[in-house]
Amino acid sequence: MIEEPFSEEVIDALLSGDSNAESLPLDLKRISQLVSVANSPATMTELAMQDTVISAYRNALATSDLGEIPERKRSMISRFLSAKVALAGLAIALTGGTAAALTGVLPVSFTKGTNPSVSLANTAAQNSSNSQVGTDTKVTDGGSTASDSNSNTTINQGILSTKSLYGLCNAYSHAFASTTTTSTSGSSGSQGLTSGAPLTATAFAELNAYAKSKNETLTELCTNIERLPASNSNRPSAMGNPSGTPQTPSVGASGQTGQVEFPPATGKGMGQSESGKVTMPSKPSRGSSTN
Amino acid sequence: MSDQLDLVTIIEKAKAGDEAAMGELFRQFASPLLRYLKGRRVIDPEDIASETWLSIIASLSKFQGDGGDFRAWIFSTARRRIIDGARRASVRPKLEQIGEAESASAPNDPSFTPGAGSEADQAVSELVDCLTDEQRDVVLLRVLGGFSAAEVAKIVGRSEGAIRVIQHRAIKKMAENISNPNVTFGTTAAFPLMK
Repeated sequence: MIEEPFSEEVIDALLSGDSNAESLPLDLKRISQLVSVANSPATMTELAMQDTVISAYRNALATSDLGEIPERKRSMISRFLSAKVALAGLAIALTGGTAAALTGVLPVSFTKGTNPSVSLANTAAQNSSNSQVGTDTKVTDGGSTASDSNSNTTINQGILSTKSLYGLCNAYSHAFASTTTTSTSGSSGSQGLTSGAPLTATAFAELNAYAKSKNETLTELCTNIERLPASNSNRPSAMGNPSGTPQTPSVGASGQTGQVEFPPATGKGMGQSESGKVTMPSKPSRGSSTN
Repeated sequence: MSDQLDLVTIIEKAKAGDEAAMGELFRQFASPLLRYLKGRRVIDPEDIASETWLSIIASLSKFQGDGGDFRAWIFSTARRRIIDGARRASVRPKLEQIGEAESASAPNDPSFTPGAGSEADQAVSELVDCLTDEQRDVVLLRVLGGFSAAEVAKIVGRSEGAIRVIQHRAIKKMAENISNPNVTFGTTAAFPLMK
């Protein structure tokens, strides 16, 4: 029987094979011998598996298994970054949309290429608050701004295209016709084709304001607009420029400023723009209009 | 220290695809690993050793550390394989239950002689025959793996103090077994100590 507990040093020495067997009791000496034999060099039988292991190692190298994990990590990182970029883009889009919804103003890049109806709706929202921000443009006539005119109304850039004016006049005349046939009366204080016409729509109110800014009635405005495409000789260039080069409308030219750019009636060719018919707005301004 | 540096160099070469370095790693660790598995009384130690090496090869590129870490990695992998094998054995179909019953009785059966009877295997068997599986694990990791008590504690997932207690009891039991070889150690590990 072992009567005395072993010290930690003896146990560590025994198990690590560093003990001096001569100084140990008989039973511990035997343990030391067994540990020594257990740590003897490898036999050929034990190394018989070497060829199999090396073969597996070679196969792993050939199939590039050794580098598979880092590759997978890279793809995960790139995937994660892509997801982050997409998320950031989405957040920007949502934030921009929210801001536009709150302010009622779209950026210039959006309003330039948008549908006229959208622009007009945007204009109506802005007119209701009598504040002009963003892309609103004051209508000019003869070098004077809309704020100088009677209407004191600003027109969104969307109404400034001839297509918009033409279409709006067309819609107005049709709406007016349908209103008169159904004996509907609805005046929004507009002037134009007739007093008492259904000008409750903000687009028509906008058109009316536009005509006011030109010191014209709606009838005159629409008549002029409708007449222009019919005249081949005087048909304006789609770009307001005979050469077809895009041109920024000028403000304050001598009495003939504000040429409206009309689309070609046939879609072919560029005509000379007819001056003095419809006022072309000036460059976009952030100024506020006064009532 | 120089051995550790050499081992690090060999490991790096093996990671870079040097077959000779891989062969050297195998030669250094194959016999301790196999003896450890035989000492743990695994049914098929060669099979477990083969699985361990395949696992090592597959994850060699991920390995980072020195020679001691590599040694610990090998034995930890082998231990996991043993545990997985025991888990698989517990859910085997009934047709294999005869073999399972044999394996279940093996760890505490003194007549169980695993593997071929090389001198080293016999020494290992004589050393740990009287021990419980836990004591056997700790003693074999210390003797064959060359780990300190703290390193064994990390591998096994116990505290260093617990490992020291286990190894102390194991040494005591081994000494008793040597001084009184006729003592039969059954499934009740504490039985010899109660004499």
